[in-house]
Amino acid sequence: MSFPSTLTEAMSPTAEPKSDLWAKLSEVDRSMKVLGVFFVVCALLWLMAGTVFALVASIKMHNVDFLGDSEAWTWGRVRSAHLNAMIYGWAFNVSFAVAPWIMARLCRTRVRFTNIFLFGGIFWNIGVTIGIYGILAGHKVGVEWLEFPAYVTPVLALAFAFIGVWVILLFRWRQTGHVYVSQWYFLAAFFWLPWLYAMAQIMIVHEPARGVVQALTNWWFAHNVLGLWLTPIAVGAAYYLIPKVLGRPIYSYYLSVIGFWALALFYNWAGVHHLIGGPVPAWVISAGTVASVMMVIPVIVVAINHHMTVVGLHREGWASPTIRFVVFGAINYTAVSLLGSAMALRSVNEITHFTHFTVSHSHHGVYSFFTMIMFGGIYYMLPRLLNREWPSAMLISLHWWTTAVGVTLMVIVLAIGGFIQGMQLNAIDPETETAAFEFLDVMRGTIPYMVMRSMTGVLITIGHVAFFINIVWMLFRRPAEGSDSRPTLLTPGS
Amino acid sequence: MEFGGYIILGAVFAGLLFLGAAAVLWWAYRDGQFNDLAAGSRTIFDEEEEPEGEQTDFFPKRDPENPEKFPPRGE
Amino acid sequence: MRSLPLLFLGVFFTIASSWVGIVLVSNIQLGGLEPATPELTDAEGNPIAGVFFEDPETGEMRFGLNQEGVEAYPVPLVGAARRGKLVYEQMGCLYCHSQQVRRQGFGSDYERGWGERQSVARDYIHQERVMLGTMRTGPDLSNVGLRYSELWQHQHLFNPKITSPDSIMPRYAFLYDVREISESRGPSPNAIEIPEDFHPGPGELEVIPTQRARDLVTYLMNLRQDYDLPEMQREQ
Repeated sequence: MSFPSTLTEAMSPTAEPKSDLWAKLSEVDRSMKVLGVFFVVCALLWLMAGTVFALVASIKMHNVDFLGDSEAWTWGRVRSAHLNAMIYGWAFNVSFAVAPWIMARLCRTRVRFTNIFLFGGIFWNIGVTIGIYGILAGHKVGVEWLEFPAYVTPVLALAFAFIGVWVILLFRWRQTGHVYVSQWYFLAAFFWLPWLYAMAQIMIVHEPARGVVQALTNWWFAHNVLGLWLTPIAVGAAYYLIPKVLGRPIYSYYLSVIGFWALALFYNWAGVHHLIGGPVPAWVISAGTVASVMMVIPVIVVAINHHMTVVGLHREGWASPTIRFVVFGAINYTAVSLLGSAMALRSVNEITHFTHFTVSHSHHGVYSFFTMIMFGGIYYMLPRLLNREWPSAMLISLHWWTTAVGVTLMVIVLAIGGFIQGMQLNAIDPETETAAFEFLDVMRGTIPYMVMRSMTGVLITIGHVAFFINIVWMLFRRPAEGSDSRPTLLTPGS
Repeated sequence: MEFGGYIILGAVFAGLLFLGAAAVLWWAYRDGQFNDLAAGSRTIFDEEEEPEGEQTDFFPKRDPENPEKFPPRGE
Repeated sequence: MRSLPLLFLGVFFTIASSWVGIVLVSNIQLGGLEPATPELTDAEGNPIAGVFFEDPETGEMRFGLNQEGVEAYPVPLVGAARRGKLVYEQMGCLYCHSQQVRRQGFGSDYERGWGERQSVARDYIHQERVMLGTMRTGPDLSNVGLRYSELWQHQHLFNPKITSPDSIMPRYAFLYDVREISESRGPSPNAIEIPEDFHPGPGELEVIPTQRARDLVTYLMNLRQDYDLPEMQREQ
């Protein structure tokens, strides 16, 4: 077989006979091994760092003396370090691990020029590390989701460009006629993100737009990182993993087409609901509210598709770590999105805005939905890349139970606390026409919920430690030949 | 400051966008992009390695359905 | 669907639509806002109600003009206040404090005394960093400069529990120098008064705000939307 030796040759449409590039699934897995392991390890380290920041920030909410005299560890910085470590560290790295691997499998192609991807990945992680340091050192930008100091953002943008270009090249080398729905989601995500990031950086950080246009751009960006990056990655992964693990095709492929385009059409308008009641034009808010409500369509479509695929195979699904995590994530996608649509209504938003309810909602989305699906993806991917079994079923069980129970409790606790907080903040004494509750009293009322939140955080941390041990154990354990070489799930003999 | 102008401009663009979308959809339909859509859902399976109808993920060393396929280690 | 260009076209137009809609159009609408006097006038200098007036010749709606000889608002921050804003940003204040007053009847912003009027887009035109905030773990600060004294602010920053019992706001004691009172020169005139219960060493030590603390307090004292804007006449 003769492969084109240079990148330009490989990109030209006529350079190669297609049959040469077709690869077996196990061959695809082998060619993605270095990339997959690199990004899983980076993601794992960021997950652990983000967990530490999360615990510190959470404890500080009810015990201000904890690390109270340190400037770097002041709450306003730890909180940002947590968010950025989790989003740009954990979520992006795990997306770089899982999505391109699924993409390569769906393209059934020999993976080449992986150095481009690896190069982008290394620079991405250097950028995130400097960024987190910059936040703690006090160089942060005071814009939510864009806190990284202005001096690292070009590095991140460039790193992502390498990664994105490689993913699109990968798609161009595909050896299959059909383009599976997961591939649309991934391609769209890798195209949307750089646009979002570049626009937000230019209009907010480097050449700030005038006044509240910045705020509008901020929420257009921040909500779309969730809607047009994390959501398509996780939904795409679920669209692959659920039917794949269960060996049953997706319930309705027609619905998946509608679901994809409805998401593309509506989600990118939804973000401005974070500014309801704020000093921005009413028509923007109305458009955002309408789009948020319209999101019900793609969410219901995806819900039908995912859940109908699982129906009748619950016992089988329970026996698979991947399905446990992914189905948990899929159920929460439905829940968090419907809740999100409700929260965009002015009357509901009046209560939930500015309260811990919003915090509950963001963890519901990024953790219960996105992160859990990505855990499932790693449980499916890593044995195939390494050709090795997971060392401990007990640790997987522990990981699942602690994170599933932990995050569910956290979401419930914060939602209840936030809702009460919102009702009390808004309550007006009709006789005196003043606020019915003193502000400090409302704040005092939230403290028990903050304590409970920290406890659920400890539970989740236990799960992360179990996950960490399992992966490290798997990586360093000697691959015994013969009887031990029976990864879950590679077909015998491959 | 003619606000009417912006609205007309916006309407023209929206109209063009809508017509463009309609034309592209029509082309896609004629081109057969939507033919045999459901077949795409089976492309994820592979008869040789991971065939349809077979579960491909279990807890390690616990495969209730196929004890002979994945016998417990040490046997 | 099998066509990559088709997919890209769709994906491109969807994101372009919201970028144009939310970002570009609002930039066209708001990007040209300038400081304004409480009342605007038409081309002849006659006061108008609200922001627009109809051009008598062409019938077009035009923006009103600022009145001559009347100060236009908002005014940009300068000097210490401007530096203080940077400290505010670096400490992450915006994650607990919003800077936007919602209209009377939506929430309780008005009843809590957080502002006499709703915040409008024009209030923010000079801010190179707009920190509207999305959380109210602490109260709104749009008009905090009108509510408290400088001393209150310093005490509250040094240890929030001095002024707000049980507060969960972090203390910013690291913005203050705690040092021994000089024997020869006596207590420094810059030292801030700290109640005995919270004082690190009453009678021996004194608490001096650093440059950053003074800047931050100057910024906080400058947070005030107590001027009138022409938008208000339309709203009410």
